[in-house]
Amino acid sequence: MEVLILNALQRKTKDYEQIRTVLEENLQTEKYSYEWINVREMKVNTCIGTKCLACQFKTPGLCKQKDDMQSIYPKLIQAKLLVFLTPISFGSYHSELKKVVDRFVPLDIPVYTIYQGELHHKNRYENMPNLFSVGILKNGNQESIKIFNKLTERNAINMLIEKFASVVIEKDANLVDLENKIVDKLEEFL
Amino acid sequence: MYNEQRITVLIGSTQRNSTSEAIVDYLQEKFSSRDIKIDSYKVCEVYQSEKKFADLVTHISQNDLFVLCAPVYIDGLSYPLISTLEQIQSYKYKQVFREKKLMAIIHSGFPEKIHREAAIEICYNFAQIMGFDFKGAVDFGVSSIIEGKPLNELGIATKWIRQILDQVAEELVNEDEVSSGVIRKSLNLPIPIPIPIKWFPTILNFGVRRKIKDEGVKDILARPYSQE
Repeated sequence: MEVLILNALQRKTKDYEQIRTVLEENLQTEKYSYEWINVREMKVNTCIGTKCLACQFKTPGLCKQKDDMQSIYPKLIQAKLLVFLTPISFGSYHSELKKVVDRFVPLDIPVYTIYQGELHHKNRYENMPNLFSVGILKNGNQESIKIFNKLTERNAINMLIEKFASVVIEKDANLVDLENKIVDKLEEFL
Repeated sequence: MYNEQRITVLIGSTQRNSTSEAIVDYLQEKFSSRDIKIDSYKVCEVYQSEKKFADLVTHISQNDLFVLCAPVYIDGLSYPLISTLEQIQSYKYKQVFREKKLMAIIHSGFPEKIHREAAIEICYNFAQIMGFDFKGAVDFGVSSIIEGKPLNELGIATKWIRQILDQVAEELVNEDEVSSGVIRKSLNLPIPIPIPIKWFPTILNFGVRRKIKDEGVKDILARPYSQE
């Protein structure tokens, strides 16, 4: 599996159906293997945070929570490209995706390094996937677009990922606009 | 302005007895002499409880000021906090937050301001979208030294944080000193002592090595999900 798609869009919506079609058509044409995970259907608990940190100091790299994240972690670190599909909430990823992203802590080690002039944790795994996030926005709020792009960039820097991109698509966009935006960016990765 | 009034605070940590809670407790202590009471809610309790969420919304609509006090979580706000803000958004059209004010206190373990910027901007954008009058954000790094402990018990190590919060408390009491609409209250006090950032890994990794030894961690670099 080369591309892992973490989808927080509601199924059976126009956006979901169109984006799925565009992504799958392109990935199949380029003969990329991919897996599509609808995070809303996964049982993912909330990361307990600094009071836990078992994944850092008790069982390094292993999250102690027994839920569906256990099946996502191996796929995540094997993928060459990680795709986030999400409605945008105030510029942030939607909570359904954020719940999964908050659980990325075991992918770090507690050792510090300087990356791009900033303090960060080192990655646990050598090759992290590239990151491509696609946000769906209802009202064209420019601040939300700016924050969404920044959040993707910050996530990429935080995970020491070199190649990343983000696009924001208006809710219920027409297929041509949507395709143009996604395919242009996707081609940079494939 | 807020004398003899109440402030609603939402603590954005995913856990109880958090650093955010310690910050709010410190503010409550400061306010107690000014007849200001804080109605505080922990997002880790609110986001899955209809009753607590309803209480929170009632207090936001009754009190003049709504404060978000939250840690940075993977570059943004934590999942329970985003989830709660999404739920609050469903009340937007009921006009219950009309003429209410909002401010944010955002902290992170990493010292540099860049780590907190997206989280601050999400708070600002939430305020704008919901129609709150945004009173600004205060942010600081190295908050991991608090570890949920009462700030007054931490002595000189957190004096600079207490000074920031003293200033926040004063500004909240004298409402006329802050204005709305833009992020302009960020104090940008990321590092309490002038240490070049490139020295941080050496200093912090010394502590990490000690913790690894104390905890008896065998393989800190383990890659359990790898199929190599």
